[in-house]
Amino acid sequence: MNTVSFLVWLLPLFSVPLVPLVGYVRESWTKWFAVLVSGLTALLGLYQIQVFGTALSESAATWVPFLNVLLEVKVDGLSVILSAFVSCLSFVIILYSAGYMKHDKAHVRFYSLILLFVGGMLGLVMAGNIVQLYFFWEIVGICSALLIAHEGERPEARQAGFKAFIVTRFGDASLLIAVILILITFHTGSLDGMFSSLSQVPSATTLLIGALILVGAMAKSAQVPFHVWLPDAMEGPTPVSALIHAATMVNAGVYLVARMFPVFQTSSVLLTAVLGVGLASMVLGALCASTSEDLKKILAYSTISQLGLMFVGLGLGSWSSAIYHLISQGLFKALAFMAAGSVITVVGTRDIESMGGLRRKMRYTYVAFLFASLAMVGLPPLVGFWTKDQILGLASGNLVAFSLVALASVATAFYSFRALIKVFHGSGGVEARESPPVMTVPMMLLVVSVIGGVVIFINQSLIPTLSISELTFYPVLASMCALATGLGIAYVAFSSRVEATRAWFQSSGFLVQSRRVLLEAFGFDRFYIFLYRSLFRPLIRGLSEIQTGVLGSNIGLLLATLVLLIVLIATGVI
Amino acid sequence: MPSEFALLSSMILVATAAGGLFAKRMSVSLIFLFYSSVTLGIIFTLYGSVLVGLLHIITFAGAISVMLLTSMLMIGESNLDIGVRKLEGLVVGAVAALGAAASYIVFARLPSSGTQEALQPFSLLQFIWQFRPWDLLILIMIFASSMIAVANLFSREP
Amino acid sequence: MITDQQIFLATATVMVLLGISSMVYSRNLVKTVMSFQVVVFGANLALFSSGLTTSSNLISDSLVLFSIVVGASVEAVGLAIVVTVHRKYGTLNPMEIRRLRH
Repeated sequence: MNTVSFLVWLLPLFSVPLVPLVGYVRESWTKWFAVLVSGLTALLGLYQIQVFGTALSESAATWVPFLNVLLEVKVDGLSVILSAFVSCLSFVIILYSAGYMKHDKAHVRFYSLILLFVGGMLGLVMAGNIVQLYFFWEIVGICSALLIAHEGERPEARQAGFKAFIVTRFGDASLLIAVILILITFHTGSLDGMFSSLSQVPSATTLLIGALILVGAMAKSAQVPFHVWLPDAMEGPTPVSALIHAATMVNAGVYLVARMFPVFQTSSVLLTAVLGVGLASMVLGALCASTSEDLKKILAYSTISQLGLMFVGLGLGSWSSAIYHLISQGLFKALAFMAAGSVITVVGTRDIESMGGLRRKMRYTYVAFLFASLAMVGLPPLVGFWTKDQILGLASGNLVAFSLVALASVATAFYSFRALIKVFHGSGGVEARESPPVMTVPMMLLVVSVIGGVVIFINQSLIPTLSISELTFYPVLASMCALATGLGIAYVAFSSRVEATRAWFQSSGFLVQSRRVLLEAFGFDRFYIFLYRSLFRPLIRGLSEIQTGVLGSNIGLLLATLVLLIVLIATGVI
Repeated sequence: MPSEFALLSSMILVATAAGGLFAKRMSVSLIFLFYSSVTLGIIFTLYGSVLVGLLHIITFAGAISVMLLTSMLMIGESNLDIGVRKLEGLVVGAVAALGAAASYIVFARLPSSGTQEALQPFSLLQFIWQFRPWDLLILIMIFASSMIAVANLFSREP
Repeated sequence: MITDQQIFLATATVMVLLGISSMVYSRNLVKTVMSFQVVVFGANLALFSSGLTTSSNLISDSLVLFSIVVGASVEAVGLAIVVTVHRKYGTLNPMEIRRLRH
């Protein structure tokens, strides 16, 4: 009996109702309870990897007998490695949040939602059939929206949570249609059953299902054009941003496409669409991060960009490269968010223009952010280098993809060093002191994992391994050039040592114009608001005229429907 | 072969209900509805279930009619004039006729299924012999009072 | 070949439609309640006639009893509302009582 695979996601879920009980005893104990539960889950995740070799058998329990849907767990390399990753990273971030959320008042709500989220994410990763996956997909979405709006007194937080929920709703609707189509076509929700009979289904159906799944994944993973919720989601507390919007939930879309990859492989149109979406998001994210003034928004756009890179990997036909980059991006992005949170708590603002010179005052945080940035730009032997260059190598056959990825790499290096220089270098008079150990210890843990993370990719037999010998020369050369270029531009533009070019950068006409466009993120938000005002509002006004407030007219509508029904029955249509 | 009683009682039911809804004065409307409920009670009684029939008459022809009368008294005379314009009356009639036509179409299309013992008018009234005299008395009182009401309705005050 | 049950079902349909369409055009709230009563008649007749083809009418009888009780209580509450509306707004014409709209 496959207890571990069920326990790894049932444990956090069942501990959610216990959090208010613990909080009733003493409110400050909830965070340690959450740390304990997430630690146990991490241990279970790691244990699952160890036991995996001895062929855990699949087991299932009946869940919805009417739809022939079972509560199944799919235990294969992908789910095991991702569940271990998610559980361990959640533990580190919850430990960090125990220090970060010290001044917060609503501990119970925060930690119960975080535990629910962890359980939901693990359930999503380990789900064995598509209905279960959709169920946990929704749980994860609602937890994300509620956690963004955690500080409910601030209207920006509430609006951001609402916006996140609504935008991802489009993806959820699309995914629901895909689930229904799958249930109709394959007569079973089980993933194994689906993949085994995939070849007998007409290709138009698989194309439609794949397209709907892609839209769902795009909304959840903040790809263009559904990316508008992620920058605003930074209104949530930083542990939420680190856990949900950098490392785990936004990866659910990538995981979905990777899990459904046999469906995507049936059609090259789908793969090209995935590739296109990934390229667009990558470039857009990198460009918008280059001009943003808000530290967390820079990291948000950076996440969009890195997720785009994962979609590029998927679109080029290799899901394992995308999953590797998922793991490495999770590691360094969570690290970057934790460092950013540490800085923001101490300085009190998110605006990078008012920071500076924190390098000497917050050493541990500086080390953390430095390593996160270096991993992101792909400096060997940090973990980002291996995964990013593998995708770059895969793209070397496709000129458009390769050049766009290289361009985005330049921009990535540019904005990461820009953030690093503006926040930590230079001379600033900001009062600062280092964060308490409960926050710096998790950061250092992640620094270690970022440095040595490459062993995850080589020494395991769970998913197709990242072979180092495949990293051919030219992509690596291109990526190093991109890194150097970006670093050079950032240094020249922002470092206080080179005054003349810095002034030129500030005042150049073309740059000022493009900065305005980029600050608005190419106007996606404005476009959506315009769409709402021109399309939906007249429709809403027109439909509300039907309700006149007179009793007779409302009953008249009822009567009209009844008469219609009777006529249809009498003439035999129904 | 449908029993004539079923057809007759159904027509009386619909006619009194329509009369109640199209009437110009509230009190007339109330009396028509009273007769409609009595007819329905008779249908219930004679088709096998005396209990339901009696309870129906007690509730609707008794309690509800009194309630309607009381509320009409509370509201006052001046508000009680109601009526149906020609066009609206036509619409109501058309909808009702549509219902009848649709039912006829649906039922004529169904295969004749099931057997139902034709209720002879003679056997319909057999319950009278099986009643306790007390219940029979109540029934007679109800019918007597309704006959008095009819006589009252058709007499005018000088 | 139309049986008794079908005649009663047809009358029930006619009663229900009569009641609902009369509710649309009524200019007096008490008439609205009366037309609701006609609808209840139709529904009870339909329920009752469903038990005519079987020899034991227990289930249909009890359902009709339920329906009578529920219909009576709804009418009672409706009349209470009508009396209160008359007291508050002075008029009983539903076309003039549109406060919920604006």
